[in-house]
Amino acid sequence: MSGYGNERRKVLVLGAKKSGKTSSLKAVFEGMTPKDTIWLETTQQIVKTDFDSILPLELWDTPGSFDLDSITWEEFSTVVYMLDVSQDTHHPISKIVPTFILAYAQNPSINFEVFIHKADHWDADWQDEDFREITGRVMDEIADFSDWASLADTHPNVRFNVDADAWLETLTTEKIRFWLTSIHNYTIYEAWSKVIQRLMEDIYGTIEGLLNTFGQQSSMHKSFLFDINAKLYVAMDINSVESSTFQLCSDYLGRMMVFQSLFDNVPEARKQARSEKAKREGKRDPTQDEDDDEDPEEREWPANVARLGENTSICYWQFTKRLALMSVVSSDVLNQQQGMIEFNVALLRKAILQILEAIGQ
Amino acid sequence: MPQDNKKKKVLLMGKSGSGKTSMRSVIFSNMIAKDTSRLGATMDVEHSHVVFMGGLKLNLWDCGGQENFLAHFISTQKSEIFKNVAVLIYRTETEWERDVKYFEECIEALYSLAQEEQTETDPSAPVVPPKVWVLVNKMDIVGDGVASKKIKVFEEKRDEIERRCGAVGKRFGMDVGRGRGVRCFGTSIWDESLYKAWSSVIHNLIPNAALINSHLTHLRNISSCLEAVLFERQTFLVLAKSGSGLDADPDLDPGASTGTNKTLGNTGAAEDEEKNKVKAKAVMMDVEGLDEVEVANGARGLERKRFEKISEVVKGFRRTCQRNSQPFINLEARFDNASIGLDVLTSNTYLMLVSSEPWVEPSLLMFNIEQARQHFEELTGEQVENPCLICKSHPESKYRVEDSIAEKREEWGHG
Repeated sequence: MSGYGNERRKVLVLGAKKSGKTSSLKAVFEGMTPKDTIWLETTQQIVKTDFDSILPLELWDTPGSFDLDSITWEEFSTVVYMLDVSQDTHHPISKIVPTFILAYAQNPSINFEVFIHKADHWDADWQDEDFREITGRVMDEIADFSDWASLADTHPNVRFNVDADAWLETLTTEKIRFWLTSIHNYTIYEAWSKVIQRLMEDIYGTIEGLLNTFGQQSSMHKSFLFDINAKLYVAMDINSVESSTFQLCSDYLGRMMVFQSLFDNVPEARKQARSEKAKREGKRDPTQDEDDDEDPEEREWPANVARLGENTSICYWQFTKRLALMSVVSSDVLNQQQGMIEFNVALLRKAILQILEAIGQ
Repeated sequence: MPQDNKKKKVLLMGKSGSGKTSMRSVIFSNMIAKDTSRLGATMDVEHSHVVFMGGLKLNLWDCGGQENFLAHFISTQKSEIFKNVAVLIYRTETEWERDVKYFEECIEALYSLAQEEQTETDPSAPVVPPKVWVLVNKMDIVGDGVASKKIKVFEEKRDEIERRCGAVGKRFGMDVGRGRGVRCFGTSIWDESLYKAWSSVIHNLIPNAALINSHLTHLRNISSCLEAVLFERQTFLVLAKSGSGLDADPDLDPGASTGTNKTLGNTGAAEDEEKNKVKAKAVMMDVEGLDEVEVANGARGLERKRFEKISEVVKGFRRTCQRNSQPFINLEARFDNASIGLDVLTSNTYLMLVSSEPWVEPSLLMFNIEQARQHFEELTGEQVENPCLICKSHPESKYRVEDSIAEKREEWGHG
């Protein structure tokens, strides 16, 4: 494992003007509703935002046109490229291919994630075909890249690999991934989930293993480890389920956050009521002696269950202020084995906290 | 009223395009606001039925708003339309120059029919006018987004409506005015204001609301809860709650995102309080209306629009479940500052228990709902087999409880 600890992973978000860079960042990481993103102004300069997920991230939002030569590629863990399919895609693709090559030459550990964005503009029946067409085009342009001379000309300090074909092949097969995304549904959350999971490197496998064991022992249909602030999953078990399961969990999580917020001011009101009562009765205010600082170890984290019929219950167990386990389980199993499940959840939580501690979180 | 106590006729009126059918679809058919643009104009009268708790049945008469229909409603069809009305819901906008004459004609038709009916049955009794709810629509585009402006526009409008209703009522010897047979709500289909207005309508139609309130309050107390709230199952309209009154004064909160302006227009209302209890109750609800248990459990810190928001949460999630071919049954949650149990109570209600005590487990709340189910089913049904102490002593109890039959049960629910 390299580079763990508190070091922030830098993620550079690139894309043409109006391709939805800021919108997707605001929607996922700041909870802005998609329909409000149309009011966002054009980004004029690079905006860096820190976001603490399972790993600390530094998200770089960029203007549509800026000097890419000012970028030090070694700094970045990932480049997210937003390819807007509601506009012309030929020009952006031919522009981004040399950029990928240049970045990879300077930083062989960098990852590229291409979001084929605004996919809702496509006819749903042809989406898969359109997706294949675009990814094929990008791959071909990289494989057929030949303009080394001008690249070497403009970047005299960069050394390009001698065996260009094999090198380019590694780039296309191992480094670049494509995601079909839209801000108006869960796909943008799923794509960002995958981006973060790749950054987790080895610990992803460890956590996945824990979730698998938990799922087997507790008869779960599916388990996710959610980042509750961004509503994306940083890990999931290997059980295969339809993609709607993630949607259902993500939707549920968002609504429970709203529900929970209705009671935000209740403790303050309770406290006030107690001190007023003491005053009326001529006693000493009991709230003055109370210590507001809760021991985080002692704290009881939120947990909830929604039953959707015999076959399905959605369970939520919060683990830390950022992470929560969400599982889908048969309602019968939940009713009959709740004690055992809760015990297993406690063990899983302990194991995950140990991992977080080990990586310095 | 001579008609069946449980069947209530609700008239929906207002000019064409004022959003009557949209509103009905959003509330009763679970339609989301942006889909209502697809609805066509209503022809003549569209009837629909909604069955609520305890057999309370609403007959909704959605009266088409085009001028040629309107003319018929107040002339040839007058007695058919305006007879036996429980509630007239009139939908209008802040700009209503062309609407005002027709509004008055409707009110006049409504009151004159009510007077005729009363004369037929019992001429000596005073005439109780059918209730009129005026929903001032499209409040979301009023006042250029300035809250104080919006409130001012709404209040002027409300005063005018009350004045006009009062004047018409006077001609028929009826005492109509603020809090007396006429109420105004500022609404918009884009937010929860519409839900609030409809909850108020339903809440006022429930025949034994006070009895249900007493039961909920008792259940709250024995479950160590902050509140117990009863929702209608399909619409998730709030029907009743424990403790303080549900029916918050609409004047204090004129619809869409105006914030909570409690002092405006409220100081002058003090003298009205003596005259009518409805108003007094509504004002108290604000803070002083809370009972001891509510205050001690932190009810002052509760979000004012919580029922509307809970309704949106549950209905929204239920829609997501339906898309995945799943039903939604119940929910139990331990949040940071409260525990929640939300479960089916009777065939057409949901009960929510909320506790702010840290030691109260959500599963305990679910158990208590389970235990309360049988009694509530009886209470809202035709006959109570096992009346509890509350049922026996309550003035609203419609059941003749003879001592020989009645069990001497001190407590219900917890057994």
